Amino acid sequence: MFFLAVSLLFLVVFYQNRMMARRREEERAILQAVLEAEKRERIRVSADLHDGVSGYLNSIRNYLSILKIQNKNEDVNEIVQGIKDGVEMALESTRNISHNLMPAIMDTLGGAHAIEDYLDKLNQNGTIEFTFSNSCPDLLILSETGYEIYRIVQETTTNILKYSDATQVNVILCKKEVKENTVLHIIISDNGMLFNIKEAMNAITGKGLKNIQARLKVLQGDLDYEIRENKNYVTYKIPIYHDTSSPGG
Amino acid sequence: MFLGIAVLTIVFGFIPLAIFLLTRRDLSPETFFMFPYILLVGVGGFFELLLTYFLKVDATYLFSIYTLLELPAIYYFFYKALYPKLGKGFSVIFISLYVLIWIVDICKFSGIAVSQPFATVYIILSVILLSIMWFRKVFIEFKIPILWKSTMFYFVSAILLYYSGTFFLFLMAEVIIEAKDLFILDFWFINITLSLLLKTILTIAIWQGRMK
Repeated sequence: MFFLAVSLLFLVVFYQNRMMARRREEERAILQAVLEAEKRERIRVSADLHDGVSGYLNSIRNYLSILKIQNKNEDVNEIVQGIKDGVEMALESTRNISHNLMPAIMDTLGGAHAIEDYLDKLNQNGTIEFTFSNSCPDLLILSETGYEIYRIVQETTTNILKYSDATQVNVILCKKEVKENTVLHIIISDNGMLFNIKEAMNAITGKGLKNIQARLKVLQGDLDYEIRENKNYVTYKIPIYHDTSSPGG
Repeated sequence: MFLGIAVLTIVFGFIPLAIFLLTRRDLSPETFFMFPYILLVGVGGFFELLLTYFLKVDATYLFSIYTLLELPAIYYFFYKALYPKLGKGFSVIFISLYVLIWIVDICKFSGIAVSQPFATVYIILSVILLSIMWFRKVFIEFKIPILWKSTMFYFVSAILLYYSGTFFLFLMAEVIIEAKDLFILDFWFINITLSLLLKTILTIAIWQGRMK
């Protein structure tokens, strides 16, 4: 009878453990579904902006060019030129929004190239110097994983831009083999205000950190934070499941 | 002292029934599956107390009828808990077979006796089999969020522990009673302890059945 009582206790513990694992898996699946829905929506909006709004703006620009050629009145042409400049700016802005929503390079060259491209654009626009190095260009990553990694880097660098007062940001991609599994390390360091992202994540209030946490959960990844030479070092560790059908890193 | 413990054990049988009746409006639907058994334990205890303690008459008939009703009461719980696994036809055959075995027991042992060994074995094997089926269902469905807070888990554990523990005791009941000098008090004490354990866990089961 004692054995039976112990067995019942063991059953309860076993059941609860399995129940917890199932719940975690369900949560992960829900999160994944939410993120995938978000991605699909981004693609749709990006395509609508690119094909719809940009198309209309291009056609307005062409009409304005024709109007400018046909019209000899200087005053009117000045106004037309003003409208044309406005349309050009709207076009550029639409293109940027569309690109930020879903970089076209993501599908063709993969997440690493999209990150590099994104950091190049940040370099052109701001006062912070961004550097990028990829020591594992041959690493093949599922396109879904690549997209999530891109968003994590984007979210982290946005936070640095907004709050850190940094002047130098380095993004490094490298891989490590852990127990026959490949783990991608994304190391983001900055010389700005010291900020423990790991601690902040445990008491998350901001949407950005919440998003990073959700994406890490879906990717079954992990996060490390350390301070070296008065610099923030954030390392995202993402297990990689190889898929030859999609472009690498 | 032993009489005191015996009376205490019988009185303990009223507690699950009392809690059930007092809190019946707040109880979850599955708590009602165990009502026949709770009722049997409570009412059986009442008559046992009345006959053996107050009227000081032979309660052998009561024990036999108690045994007859025991399996249907337990089976009702599993019939509901495992629904629709145990079909109506199967249930009728299952209970009828038990009644038949109970009658055979009565005839074989020349009338009503303190224990019905074949019927007792039937109950114990049924409890073990049905409990395994219940645990299997629980592990397949994963619908109970916290098992140790489930009223059904306590009920199944209670009867599983009690009937497994009293298995050999009831099988040897006649021998123990006939051989009066064979540590009868020790055997009786084990029975009382298991009975107390059963009633305590049943009380917890009803308590856990309250909907917060």
